[in-house]
Amino acid sequence: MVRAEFDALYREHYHRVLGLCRRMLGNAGDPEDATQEVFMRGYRALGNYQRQRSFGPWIRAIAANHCIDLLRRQTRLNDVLDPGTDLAEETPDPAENGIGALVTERNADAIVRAVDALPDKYRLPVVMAYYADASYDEIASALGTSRNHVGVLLLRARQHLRRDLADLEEEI
Amino acid sequence: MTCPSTLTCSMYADHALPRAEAAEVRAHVAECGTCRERIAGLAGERQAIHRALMTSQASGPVPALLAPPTIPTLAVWLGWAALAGWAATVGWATLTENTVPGWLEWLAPDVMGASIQILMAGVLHLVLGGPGPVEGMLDAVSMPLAAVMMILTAWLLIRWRPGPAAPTCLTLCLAVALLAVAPASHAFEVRRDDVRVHITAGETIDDTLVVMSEAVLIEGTVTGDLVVMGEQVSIPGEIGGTVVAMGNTVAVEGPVGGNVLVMGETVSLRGATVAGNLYGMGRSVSVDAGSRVEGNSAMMGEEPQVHGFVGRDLLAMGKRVSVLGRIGGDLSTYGESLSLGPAARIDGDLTATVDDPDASPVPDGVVGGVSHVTAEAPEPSRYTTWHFYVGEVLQLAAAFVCGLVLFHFFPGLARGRLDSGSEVLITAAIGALGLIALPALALACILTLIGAPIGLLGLLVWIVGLYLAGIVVAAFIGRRLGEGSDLAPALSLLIGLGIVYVLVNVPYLGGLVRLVVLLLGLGMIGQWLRGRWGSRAAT
Repeated sequence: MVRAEFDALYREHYHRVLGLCRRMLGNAGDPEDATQEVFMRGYRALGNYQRQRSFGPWIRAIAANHCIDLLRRQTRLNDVLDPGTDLAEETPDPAENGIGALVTERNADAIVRAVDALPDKYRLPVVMAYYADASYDEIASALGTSRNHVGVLLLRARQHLRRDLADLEEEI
Repeated sequence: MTCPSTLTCSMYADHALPRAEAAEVRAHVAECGTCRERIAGLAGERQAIHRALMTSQASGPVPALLAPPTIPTLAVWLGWAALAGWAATVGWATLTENTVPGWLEWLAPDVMGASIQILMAGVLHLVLGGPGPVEGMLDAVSMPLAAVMMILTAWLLIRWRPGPAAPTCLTLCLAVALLAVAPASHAFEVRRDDVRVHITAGETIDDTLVVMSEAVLIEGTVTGDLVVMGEQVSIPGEIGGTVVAMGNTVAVEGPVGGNVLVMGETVSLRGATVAGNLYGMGRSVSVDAGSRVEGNSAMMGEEPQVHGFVGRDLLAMGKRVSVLGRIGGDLSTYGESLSLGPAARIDGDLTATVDDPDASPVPDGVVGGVSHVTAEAPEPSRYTTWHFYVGEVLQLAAAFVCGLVLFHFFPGLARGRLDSGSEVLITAAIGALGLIALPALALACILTLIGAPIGLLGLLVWIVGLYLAGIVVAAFIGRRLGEGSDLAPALSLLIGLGIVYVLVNVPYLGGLVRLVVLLLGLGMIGQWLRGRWGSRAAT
């Protein structure tokens, strides 16, 4: 792949990667710097890039791993753990569409703020699964856990989001 | 099928269930309205979060991509200038002095000559100290050139990785630079013969002499050191430096200006004078009445005998230690018995550990200092000594600090997983490969002599890997045990190390545990390396 081709892909995927870094790092680092570093790593690793694979998921996987490494270095990220709390699995009331009912332009911001407010161990799998389109296996590999545990984390994350958004609705 | 759990429904909505399980859920959902609505709600949640996050995505101008770091131009010019300077030096020496550079000697008919020089220099450096083979080979011009090339290559490998071509080319340049250094001087003379090597009485070798033959007789004078290997070795001549001798029968019968290191079936000093120390090992090691060792002496054999003079301390280990001569310092012996003749004299202290002190009497007037003859006491179990536990705590603390530093710079090493039996077996197989193949390859490189630096580096990497293997396994254990609680990574590492250190010290089983830890640890390091530099696209 020549440099010009890579530059084109960089411009195409920059904002998505920037958003991913911003969501994952929170206030732990500069997302712009992290994004630059991600694409430089991607450029260096072009020898490992298989053309038949889409560039977007590949670069986002690099971004996710880089952000996790940054968080680990700051000891921000304890190993992804089961919270072990008394949070019971909640079943959404089928009469409500849960979060789906809240999606308007204004509430999209509320959802994003609620995601940003999640603890690291819930926010990371949510962002990787629902923004970076990573598979459970990829998330498990990046976080050093099992795919079943990833499922538990995502379920817990949704419970957090429902609670936070429900509280917000009450305030409104 | 009963209604699946919320977790199963959530994973189904995320398309994360295994195919068979997903088919079961799909079949159930077709018949269960409650679950169908539940899953629809969960899928709607997923889409809502996805849309919200995508909506928040920034837009606008994209900043320019910073260029990957490149070698500063000045560094490139310095590197090429160093290479050109070296080439000019070698070329000028070749043309004006009409000598063949050292790096071309391997093309000569006597292929072993230069190799033996390098090997003997290395042996003497390790055994006797003094300038090693590298210092001897590198002169004032070649050494800085080689250093510049090494530093430049290391910096490039760390900072600039566009692909394998550049580091490979630079590594080849480095190898050529190291191969091409000219030896400062030819300081060895090598004599080889299948049957016999005889240095006649009137012959003087004004160098270090290396001799290999079945029968070796050195009657002449060697001003440097003497290294000799043979079946029958006799050295009545004068040696200015140190003698290193190995053979079936080794007899040193003349003056030696340095130390004597001898190993053989029968080792003897007969009328010899050694200005330095004596180190002898063999079935029979003896110093006759006419011999003098001005320095210390250490002898190990079945029957060490000292009938002559040792100027300083004597350490003798063997079944039956016999001292009939004079020891200027202390005498320490370990063995079944000690025999002190009436003419024996020990100016210092006597410390002897024998089977039966009553069977090893010390005649009056023999020992000038304190005499202490004791029976060998059985060694206490290490578990009953306090210093064992202190030592283990110190080792654990060191491993803890190493682990913190290691995982700070290489956080991926802390993510090792062994989720299934097959993963454990594969990891252990990789570890076994690293445990056996890497040192074997390193030794093979060392034996080629040209590849010795690479082989030594490989051995060093292997040793470091063995140490880190335990830390990686400890981190894995601590992390698995910490699942379900809010343990800090450092604390989980400490717990894991504690468990590993306890298990490897369990009597009888500890060795097996240590082997398992090594295999799994090396395997996990290998898996991490594969993932980092192998087929995984994400770094």
